[in-house]
Amino acid sequence: MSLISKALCLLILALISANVSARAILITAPATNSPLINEFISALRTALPQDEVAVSSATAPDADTAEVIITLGSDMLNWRLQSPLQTPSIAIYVNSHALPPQPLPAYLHVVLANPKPLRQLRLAKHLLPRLRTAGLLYADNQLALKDEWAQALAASGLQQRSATVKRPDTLTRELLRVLEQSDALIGIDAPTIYNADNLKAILLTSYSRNKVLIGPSAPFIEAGSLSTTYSTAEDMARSVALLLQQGELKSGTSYPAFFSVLSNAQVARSLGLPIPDDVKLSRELTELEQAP
Amino acid sequence: MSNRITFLAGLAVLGLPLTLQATTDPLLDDLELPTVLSATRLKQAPAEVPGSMTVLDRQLIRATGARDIPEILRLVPGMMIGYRRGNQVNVNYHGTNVTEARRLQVLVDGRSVYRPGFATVDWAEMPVAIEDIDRIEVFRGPNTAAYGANALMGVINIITRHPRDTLGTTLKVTKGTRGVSDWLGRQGFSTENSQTRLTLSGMEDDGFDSFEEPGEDYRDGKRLTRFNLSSAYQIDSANTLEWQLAASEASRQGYYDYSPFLGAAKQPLGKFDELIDEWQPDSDIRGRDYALQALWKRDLSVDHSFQVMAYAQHTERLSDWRACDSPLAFSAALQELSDLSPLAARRVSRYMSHDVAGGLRKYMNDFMYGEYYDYLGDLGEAIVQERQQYLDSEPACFDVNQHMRESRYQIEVQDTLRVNDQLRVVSGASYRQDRAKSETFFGGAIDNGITQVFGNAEYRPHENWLFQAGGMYEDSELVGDAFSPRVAMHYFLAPLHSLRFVYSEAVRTPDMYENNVNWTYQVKNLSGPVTGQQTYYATATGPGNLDTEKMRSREIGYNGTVHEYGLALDLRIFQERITGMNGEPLKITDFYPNNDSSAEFEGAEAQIDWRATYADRFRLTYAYVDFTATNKLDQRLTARNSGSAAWIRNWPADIETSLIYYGADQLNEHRFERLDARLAKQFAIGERSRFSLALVAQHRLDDEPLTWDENVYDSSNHYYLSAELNF
Repeated sequence: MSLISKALCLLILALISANVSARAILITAPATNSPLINEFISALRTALPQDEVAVSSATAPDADTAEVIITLGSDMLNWRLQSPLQTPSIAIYVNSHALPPQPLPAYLHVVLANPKPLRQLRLAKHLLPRLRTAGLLYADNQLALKDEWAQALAASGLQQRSATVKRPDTLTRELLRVLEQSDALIGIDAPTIYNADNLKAILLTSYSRNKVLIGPSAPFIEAGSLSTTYSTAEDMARSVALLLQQGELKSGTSYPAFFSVLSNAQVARSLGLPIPDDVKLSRELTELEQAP
Repeated sequence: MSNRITFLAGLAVLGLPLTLQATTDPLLDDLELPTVLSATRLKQAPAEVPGSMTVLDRQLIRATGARDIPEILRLVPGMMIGYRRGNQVNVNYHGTNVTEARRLQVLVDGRSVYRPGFATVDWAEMPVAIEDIDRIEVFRGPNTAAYGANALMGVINIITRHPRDTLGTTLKVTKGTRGVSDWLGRQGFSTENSQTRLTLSGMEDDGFDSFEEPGEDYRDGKRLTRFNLSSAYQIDSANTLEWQLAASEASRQGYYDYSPFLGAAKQPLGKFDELIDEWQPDSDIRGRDYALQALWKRDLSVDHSFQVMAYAQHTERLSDWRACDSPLAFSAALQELSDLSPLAARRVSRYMSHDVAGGLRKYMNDFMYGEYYDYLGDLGEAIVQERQQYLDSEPACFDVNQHMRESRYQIEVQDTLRVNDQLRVVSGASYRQDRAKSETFFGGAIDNGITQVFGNAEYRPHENWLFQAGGMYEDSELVGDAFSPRVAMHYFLAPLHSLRFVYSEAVRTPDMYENNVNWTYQVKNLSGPVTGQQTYYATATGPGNLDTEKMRSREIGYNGTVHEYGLALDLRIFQERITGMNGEPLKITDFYPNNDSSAEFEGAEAQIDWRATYADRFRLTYAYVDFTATNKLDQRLTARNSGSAAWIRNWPADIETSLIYYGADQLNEHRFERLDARLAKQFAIGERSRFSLALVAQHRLDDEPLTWDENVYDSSNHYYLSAELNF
C-alpha cells in the first residue's frame, strides 16, 4: 500500500472515529483452522481500535447484542441469511458466483472476494502496454458477470473476444478461438472453467502461444497465471473498516477498496516480459482509482 | 516434446519470492491448483540462453508461405540453403560442404532425423507437414554439449503442435506453377484426458525447369505422401504421455547415376561408343520412412521433473537400374590396378577416351603426382590392349542398386531439478542403436551403439550474473569416445538485457559411409561379352579409423527485449574453428576420407524482431561470415553476406500480408536474391467454421541459377494458391 493511500486511510479514520463511539462488532467465522481468519480479525482490531470486536465460530452464534455482524465465507453468509435478525451485516470472502439471489436483504452488504474487473483490466494494461483485445471465457448462465466485464472493458478502452463454454468438452476449442484473436486471457470468476482440472490445458495452451493469463484470483498465480489483484487480510480489514466508518451500510455488493498485486516473476521472465513490481503496480492502480 | 535447448526456466528474481500468504486458504474455495508452469516446465528466457537462438514461430512460418522446411530456414541468420537438385536440399549453417550437410543436428520433437548411414538430413522427405509445426528452434552454433555428436554447427529443433491445438477438421489444397500440387487433411479428436491428431498430407512439384535443352524438364521432381498420428494423454496431474506414429512414402526423379569406367570416346571408335552413349536410363529414388516415438513426463515436485523418451525409426531409400559399361569393367587387370591405385585406373580411363598424345605411361606419370610406378603402367598397357577386342562389341550390362536401409532405436532419460533459487541442474543419459544396411555400400549391414551421458548446470549467484556449464560424454562403438564441454557466462545489464560469453567444444563423429564403407556393385543379370570373372572392378573401402571432427567456438553476444516497443534483438560475433575435418568428396572411384582438412569461420550476426504496431511486425536478419577452408569443396557454400527482411501486417477484414526479401551474395558462387509476397484472406462461415485463401508469389531478383548451374527455372516468378477449410 502506498504512502498516499495509507495517509488517506488514516485521515478518514481520524475524522470518522472522532464522531463515533465504540461499536459492538461480531465477526462470525467458520471453525476451520485458517490463517486468513486470524489475520483478518487482528487486522480489523487494529483498523478499528475503538470498537469492540467479538468473534464467534459457533454455527448459531448469539448475535442479539451486536450492532454490526461481519460474516466470513459462504457458510456463515448462509447462516446470516437464515437468521431473522435485522442487524446491519457485512459478508466478506464470498465470490460473485456464490452470491445469494438478488435483491439482497436490506441489512446486507457483500464485499466480494473475487477481483474487481476494472482493476484486473487496468493491471493487464499496465503489464502489457500493447494490450488491445482481451480474451474472456464465460461459463453458461453468467449474464450479470458478462455485463459487468463488458462495462469494465469499455471503461478501459479494450476490445473483447469472448466465448461461452457451454459444455466442458468444448472448452479447448473455445479457448483456442479466443486466444487466436486476443492478446491475453483474462480470467474471470467462473469455477466451472478455472479449476484444477482445466487449468493445465488453459495455461499450457496460452503459454505455448506466448499469451498470458491475468487472474482469475490469487491462488492461480503460483500455478502459472501472470498476475492478479487481490486483497490481503489486512486490505480486507481496512476495506471493511472504511465501509463502517462511511456511515450507514447500503444493501448491495462492492469490491474491497484496498488491494494488492501478486505476480509470477518466473512466468514473466520466461516470456520476455518485464518482471512485475507488485508494490509499484498496486500503488499505481490505487492512484488511478483515486484520481477524479 | 523433449527440448534440451530451453530446458530451464528463468530464475526468479532474487529478493522477490512469490508471496502466497492469504492466497490459498480453506476459507475460500479450496482450489488445490497444480503448479502448471513450474520451474522445470517454463522456457528459458531469451536473455538466458547459453548461445544464439532463433525461434521461428507460427506467424513467421505462415508468413513465408513455405511448402517445406528449408525455405523457412532462410529466416535464420547464417543459414545457407543450397540445392543439389530440386528434390535434394542441403541446409548448412555457415557453410562447409556444398552437397552434403553433415554438420547439423535436426530433431523432430526430440527425435533425430540425422541419417546414421549417410550422415546427412533428407530435407525433401521430412515426414512432418508444415501445417503441423508449432515452431522451429534453431540453436546457432555448436551444441554437442546438449545434443551429442553431429550438433557440430547447430541444432534445428522442429516442434510440432500439441494435438490439443489442432482439434476439429482442416482440409487444404495448394496448386501452383512448377507443378506444385499439395494437399492436407487433418482431424483432431479429444476425450476427457487425451487429444489425438491424424494428419494425412501430400506434396508434389517438378523441381527445376529446363536442363540442357530448352523445353526439356530437369528430372528432379518429387512426390510424397505422409501420415502422422500424434497423441497426448494426461495420465494424472503429474504424468503425461505423448506418442507419435509417422510414415511417409516418396518418389524422386533422378538421372542415370552410374559412371562407366569407359564411356564413349571423344571421337567414337566403334559400335560400343554409340551404344554406351545412348544408354541413359533413369535412376529414380523411392523412399519410405517410419517412426514411432513416445515421451513420458513425470513431475516429481514443483522443482523436479523427470522424462523418458524412446523412439524407433526406419528409413529406406531404394534406387535400382540397369547399368552398362565396357566389358573392361570386369577385367582382372583393371581390378588389380584399381585396388593398387584408384587414381591410376581413372587416368587409364581418361587416356582411352580422350585421345591423349604422348603415350599412356607418360600421361600417367604426368598426372599421378608422384604416385606412378612402372607396374601400374604395365597394367595400364594391358587394359588398353584388352580394349581392342571390345571396340565393336555390345557393352556389358547389369543390374545395380544403391538401396540403403537405416534404422535407429533410442531411449533417453532426463532429469530436471531446481536445487534452489540459484541453482538448477539437468542431467540424463541415453543409449542408441544405429544400423545401416546396404549390399552396395556395406556388403550387408553395419551396426553402431552409442551411449551418452550429459549434464548442465545453471547457477545464478546474483541477479546480474548467470553461469552455465555443461557437457556430454559420448561413446560410439565404431568411433570411440569424446567429451564436449560448454561454458557460458551472462552479465545482465537489466533483467531482459544480457551480454553473453560462450565457449564450447563440439565433435562430429564420422558416419558409417565415411568410415566403414565397403562399396562395390553387386552385379546381377550380367549380359554382354564378359567371359572371365563377373566381379566389378572398383571397391571403395572406408578407413575404419577416421577420427572425430573437432570444433572450438567462441562467441560474444547481446540479447535484449524492449517490451514497450515490441523490440527483441540478438547480436553476436563468433569465431569457429573445425579441425580434423573430412572434406573429401566420396566417390566409389575416388574414396579418400581423412581428417586432414580444417575450416574457420568468423563473423557477426544480427537478428531484430520488431512488433512496431499492433498490426505490423518487422524482422531483419543479417550474417557476415568470413571463412577459410583448406579443402576447396568446403569453400563454396558460404555466403559472405546474407540475410532477410520481412514485413508482416494484419489488415482489417481478416486480411494478412507479408513481404519477405532473402539475399545471399554467393551460394556456391551464385548470387541469390528473392522477394516473396503472401496475401491471405479469411472468411468466417458461421460461428465455428472458416475458409481461407492464400496466394504466394515469389520473384527472383537476379538471373543466377540456385547453387548449381543446372538449377534454373524458366521464369523468375513462381505462384501458388492455397485454399483451406477449417470446421
